[in-house]
Amino acid sequence: MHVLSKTFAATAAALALSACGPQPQQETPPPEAPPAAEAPAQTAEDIAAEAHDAARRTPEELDALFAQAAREFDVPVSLLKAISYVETRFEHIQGEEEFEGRPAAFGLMALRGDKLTDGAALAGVSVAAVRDEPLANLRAGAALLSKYATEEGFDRKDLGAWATAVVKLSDITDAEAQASYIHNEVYSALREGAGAFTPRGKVAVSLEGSKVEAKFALPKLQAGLAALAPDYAPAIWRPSPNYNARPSGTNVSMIIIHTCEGGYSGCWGWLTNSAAGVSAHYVVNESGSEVSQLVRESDRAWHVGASYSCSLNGNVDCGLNGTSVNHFSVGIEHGGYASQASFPAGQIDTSAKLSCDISKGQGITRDSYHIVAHGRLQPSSRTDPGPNWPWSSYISKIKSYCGDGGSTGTIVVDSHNANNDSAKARTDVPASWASGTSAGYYGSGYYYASTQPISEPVVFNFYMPAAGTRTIDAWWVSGTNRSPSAPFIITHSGGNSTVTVNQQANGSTWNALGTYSFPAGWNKVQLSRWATEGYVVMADAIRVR
Amino acid sequence: MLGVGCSGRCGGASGAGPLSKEEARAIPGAVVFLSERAGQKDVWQVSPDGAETQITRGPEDDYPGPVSPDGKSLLVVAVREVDGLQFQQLRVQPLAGGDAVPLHAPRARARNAVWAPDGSWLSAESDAQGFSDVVRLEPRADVPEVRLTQVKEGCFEPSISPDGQEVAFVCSREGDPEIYVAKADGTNERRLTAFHREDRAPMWSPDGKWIVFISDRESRERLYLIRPDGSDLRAVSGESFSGDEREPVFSPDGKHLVYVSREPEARARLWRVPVEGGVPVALTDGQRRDDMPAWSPDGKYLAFVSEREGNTDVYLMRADGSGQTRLTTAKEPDWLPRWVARR
Repeated sequence: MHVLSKTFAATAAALALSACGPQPQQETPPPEAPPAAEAPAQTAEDIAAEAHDAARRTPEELDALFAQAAREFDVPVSLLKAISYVETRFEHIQGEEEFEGRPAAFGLMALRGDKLTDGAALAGVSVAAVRDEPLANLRAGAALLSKYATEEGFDRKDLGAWATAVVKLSDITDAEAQASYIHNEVYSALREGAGAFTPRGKVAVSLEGSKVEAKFALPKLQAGLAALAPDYAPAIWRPSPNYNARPSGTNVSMIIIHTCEGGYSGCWGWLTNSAAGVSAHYVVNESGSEVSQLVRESDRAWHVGASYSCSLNGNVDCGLNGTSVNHFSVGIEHGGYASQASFPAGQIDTSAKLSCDISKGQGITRDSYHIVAHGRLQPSSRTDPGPNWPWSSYISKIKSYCGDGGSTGTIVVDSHNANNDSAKARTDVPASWASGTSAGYYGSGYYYASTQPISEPVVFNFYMPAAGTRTIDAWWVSGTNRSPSAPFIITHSGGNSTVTVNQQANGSTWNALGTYSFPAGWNKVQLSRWATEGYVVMADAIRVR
Repeated sequence: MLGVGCSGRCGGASGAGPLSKEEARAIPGAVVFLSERAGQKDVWQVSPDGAETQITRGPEDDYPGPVSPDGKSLLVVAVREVDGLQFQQLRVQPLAGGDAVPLHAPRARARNAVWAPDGSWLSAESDAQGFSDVVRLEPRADVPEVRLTQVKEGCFEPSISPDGQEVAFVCSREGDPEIYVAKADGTNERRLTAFHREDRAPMWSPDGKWIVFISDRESRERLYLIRPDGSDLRAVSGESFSGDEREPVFSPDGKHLVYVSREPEARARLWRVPVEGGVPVALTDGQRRDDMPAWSPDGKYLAFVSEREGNTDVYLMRADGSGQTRLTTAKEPDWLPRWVARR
């Protein structure tokens, strides 16, 4: 994979779309319809969106700053860029503490704690400057790397030898996490290259790919072991000792979304360290290409400090102990920061698939009350995953992957097309039908017409990617003036079937019309107004399941 | 509505200039807000002419909830952490000074509290007896709370009708959140919305004729109005959608809604729209984050939060968007403004 050329090409495409300058924000189309599950993993649109996201994260032209810091401290500029790409995707981040005992990371190099102060001293600038200013941050990082190079005594021209210095700059202590960080992240970025544009389309950072191998122990875990993750097959099983049993009888009812406040390997490396005293069930990497499972879903991970323990409170209300958030939740960490301007589309997608799988396995309701931000539950000290986590599209994607009214399973055709996904549902309403909003309708109101000896039907259209057998339900608002024999005409593989329903009863719920075989492509269910006169028929919504 | 507010060029650079001290002094009310100037979060109060006083203090984080209908008390959510474990507690804080009254023992979650119009009871989300129930509690210590809902999938975000007879809330029992209304004792529950996406955060209009809520039924977060019987559903912004919509607040006379649209690059913008229908008018320019609007009790002014001058501070403006004025000046964040109907 050539990140560089892909990113450049995609960015060029995105720029072409916006060649007329900044797009007006009003009346833009809906930003994010859930993708069809059959669609390829990354469409051109996804790639363009990702390039656009990347541009939002890197507002400045930084190549010169990287070069200046590298030159001053005799550090390979490509190495500085690769570390920055892996840690922050070239964003000057303002990190927060996510795990107790692990200081927050700052700037393009994601420097934390002692590294921040030591780097500032070596570079001769204030700690505040290292936190706040991109150049000071890069110089501090370069100064530290240079110091480690001197200590290790390797040949500075040997890019592969710098691996030991890179590990020292990180706070990763777990040998396996170190190996993953070096080989799968930093040196992978060096080999493949990386790039970013500013929002104005100038090159912000460019890292050309080059042939280099890290002089560092290889990771033991390889892809073959991925299938061994206990609950989510695509994940790599990296067990953490930081867990205990859920109280017996616990109903697992929530998924908590976190950001690591750091990069992926450092995140799972920290959470699998017994000294950390924290964990999560899963960690999703920045690109969405890898997921680690650290704790079984049936066990209690330690990811939210929002918990009640009566022993800390004079042993009062011990009956509330069962409400610890960790008791009844599954935690997903994501490589990245609460402060970041956007999240990579691939990461959101992978996380949504994971959340769908967890919700199916644990019977968790798929809504934003059950799939929630860490910061929402711990407002006093946490904000992750931050204001730019795309909640609406995230929840929609989860529902779509799980087939909730989505592409793979149920299709709902509402009488109001604003509520329909035009790729698979559409309603055609003749002009003579009137819109109504008596209480109890589905979606946004309904259409009705008096019964007359003309057909003039409302047509509910739905799209089937392949032929199949489906059950059709209809929804109406009942009332005494409704037709007792409203005729629904269902066109299926065997011809037309007419089902008459009594719309004076069974209102505001789904009523099955029958089960039929449908061919691939667009199909239709019509509601005719040709029935015994003196009533109205009501077209509100149909459901295909 | 043309000529009122601004549709792209106002905010800090508004030609109308900030409010004069005289005009500010004449505004009948004060704003309580959350300030982080002491390190932890405390509730402060600021008068429209900028005089600040501290309401709560101490090591815990105090979040301002709604002000009681008589303007004498404030609901505060006190949050503290012990050994990494978090405790939340609803308290009633007299605004004239004095000790806060805790309404229950500290516990994992107690949130989204609202006052009944006569101030005699409150409704909130509670996890004391289940995952999440809508409960009824009294503004006194040690009175057991009463569950209004018992739904395994959870009920959330209560809003009490202006006559105190009904409670609107959200339940996920259908597998996705829908808006419900029940009598104030939890009986006679009826469902208002039916759609396979999220309908949430309901709030009654002051005249009781409408409920506003957030829905993502068009694959984006949008505000809708609906009658309490479930009829007349429509989008607040009509044809003029501009980014995910949130934080709606009715004017005290119930005729207008102010809300926030979320724009790219973490920016946010305030809009005002007539409840009877019409085109939304931008109140701020959308160049920075402007959000958390709160109407003054007389309906003539709005407090809101802005980051336009680098810090997060509380601002004030007339209800047409003019006279945008910075109200708090601390370097640390000041946010969550709520009006008190007295000087």
